[in-house]
Amino acid sequence: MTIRNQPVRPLTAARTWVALALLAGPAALAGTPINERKAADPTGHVEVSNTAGSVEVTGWARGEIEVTGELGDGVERLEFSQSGKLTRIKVIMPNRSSRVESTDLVVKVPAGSSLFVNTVSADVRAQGVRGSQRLQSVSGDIGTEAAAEDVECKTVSGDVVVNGTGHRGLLNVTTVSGDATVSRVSGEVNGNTVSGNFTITAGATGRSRLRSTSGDLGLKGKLDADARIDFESISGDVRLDLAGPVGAEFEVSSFNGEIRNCFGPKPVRTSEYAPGTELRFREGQGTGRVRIKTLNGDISICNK
Amino acid sequence: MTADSKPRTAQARGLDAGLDALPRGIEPERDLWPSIEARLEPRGERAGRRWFWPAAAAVLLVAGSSLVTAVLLHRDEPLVARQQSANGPVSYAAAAFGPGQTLDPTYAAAREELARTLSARIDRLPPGARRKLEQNLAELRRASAEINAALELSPGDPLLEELLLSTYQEELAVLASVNQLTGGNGAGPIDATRMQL
Amino acid sequence: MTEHGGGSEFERARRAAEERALVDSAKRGSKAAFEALYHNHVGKVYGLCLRMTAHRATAEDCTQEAFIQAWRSLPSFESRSAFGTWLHRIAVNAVLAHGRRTRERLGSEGSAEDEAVALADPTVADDGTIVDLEAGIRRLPAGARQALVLVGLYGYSHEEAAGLLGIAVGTCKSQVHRARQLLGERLDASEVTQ
Repeated sequence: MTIRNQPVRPLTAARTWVALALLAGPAALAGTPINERKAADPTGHVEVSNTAGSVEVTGWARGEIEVTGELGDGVERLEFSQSGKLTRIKVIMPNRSSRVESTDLVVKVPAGSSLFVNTVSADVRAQGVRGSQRLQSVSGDIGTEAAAEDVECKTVSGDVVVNGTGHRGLLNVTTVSGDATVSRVSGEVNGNTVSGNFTITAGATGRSRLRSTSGDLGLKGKLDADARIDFESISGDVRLDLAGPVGAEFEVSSFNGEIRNCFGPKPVRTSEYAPGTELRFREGQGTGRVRIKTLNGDISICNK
Repeated sequence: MTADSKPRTAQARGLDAGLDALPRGIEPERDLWPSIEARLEPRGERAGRRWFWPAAAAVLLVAGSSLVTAVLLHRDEPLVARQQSANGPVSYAAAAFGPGQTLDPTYAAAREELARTLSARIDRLPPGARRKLEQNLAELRRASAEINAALELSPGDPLLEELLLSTYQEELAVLASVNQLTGGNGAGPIDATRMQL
Repeated sequence: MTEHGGGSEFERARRAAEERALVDSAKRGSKAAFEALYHNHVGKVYGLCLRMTAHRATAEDCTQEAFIQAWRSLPSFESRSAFGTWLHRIAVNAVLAHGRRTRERLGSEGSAEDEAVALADPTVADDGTIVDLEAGIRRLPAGARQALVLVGLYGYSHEEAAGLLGIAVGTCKSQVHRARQLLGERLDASEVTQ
């Protein structure tokens, strides 16, 4: 399954470059091609570290780890070491101050591996990895697929894109200013952002908890019959576009924002003496619960 | 009210009269003033009071610091706040939680510790990310200031208190998150100026 | 909110001016002034707390919490609204906050209702209606009681009461209706006078 909606520079350019470089010979390169392989436990743990450039990890059926790509000029070396079930792939920077070019790492791991990726500005892409994943970058973008195991994505300013594969798992996404898009994920989604926009689409949402300070929060799709939705924002807008039959109790409140409800009941002032409006109603038969709270953000609840 | 048979209407009227006749005030059986007075802080000082973390609040990050982890797990117990901490070397002012209250000192200590570590490490961030981080931390401080201001007008408003708590937790989570992200990726100190970023 | 003031226009104006002076003084830190405010308002605050909680010790706690919170918030209180109104709202929040804490601690409907200690045994006074009604209110189930106290006694609108209680307006109205029906039924035997 491919990862869609990539908002960042594609990796294909880098790979093409590497392919051409291999044909042309090392002398024509700015960087150094990488081509290494080691046997690996089918459910081992793989750690990948890079500073700038890109990291692409794909799960495959072989009991091996393969590292290809291009090592940036000026990088001290690539560490590719193993200790029991743990494999480390690290781009080591020189201690001396000198210009260092970015490194593109293309890694294939046994599909059952668990994965930890850590970069500063390198973009991170993972697909086909079925073990638990922890993907971190300061400013790089992160994209992955979520299977049945826990997935955690953390970034300061990068964007995050997660696509589900139909399994129910646990997904935690944290950004400071980056946007996050989570698609076709069922199970539990927890999201935290300060100013990024967070959107959950096209899944059957079970438990979902989103927090933002100024970023907008959005949910598009169906609610499980026993969904627990808990969205909170200080100044971001919250928008629910619900598909299919809705069965849930809604508790919606905003101090200064407007509440718009397509399902009928209108919000009321919470007090004659202070700002604040509130909307509580039940729609349909299910035991779902939707709670939305904002300080200034507008709230809109509609059926698609 | 739907059309009532005569007896119900009479009952309803009688009930209304009875409610109207009830005294609005009831004097307490004992004088409560002494115990109230004992807890009135002298004007000018800000002392904290007992407050509770809402049981439903959850923080999503696991930080390296055991102090922070302890604070994040401390969710259902009453935490008594005391005098706000004195000005430290950090640029973050001690936080208010509604009029007349300050954050629990354990929480405040965790926040300061993280802020201190972050100040030291912030140079490791690429300039763009550092700028965004500083902007967002400023945004969080503005949000808490705005909610505190609203609480002055509506003390004890549960929506405001929850949003304020959430904002402090968010700030703590951001500090913890960035500390973790800059905690070293094993490649040694990151010199942002050397990189093509 | 209804104020049960008596006396002439002049009396009311005088009392209002006196209260403003007390509030100003308390704002600047005078505990003596605040004590005077306490004495002027504790009846109504305690009355609200007692009727909403149906439990004397809890009502005393909530009353104290309300005044302490009011003292803390006083510097930011502006005289455009009446002090009593502002204080009353703080008291309602204190009662509900106590209820939330109790429920969270016990994970159930809360012991205040379960263990409501009967107040002084209702004695039949000359005006039997008042005593009976008070006891009747005390025996109401919590949700109906709180809604009735706010709407039927202390003059909050259904919208305001619903917001304070954290329920839908429709639910509030039906709680008030339910309370009235229960009271009506319970008062049936005691000959409510008109």
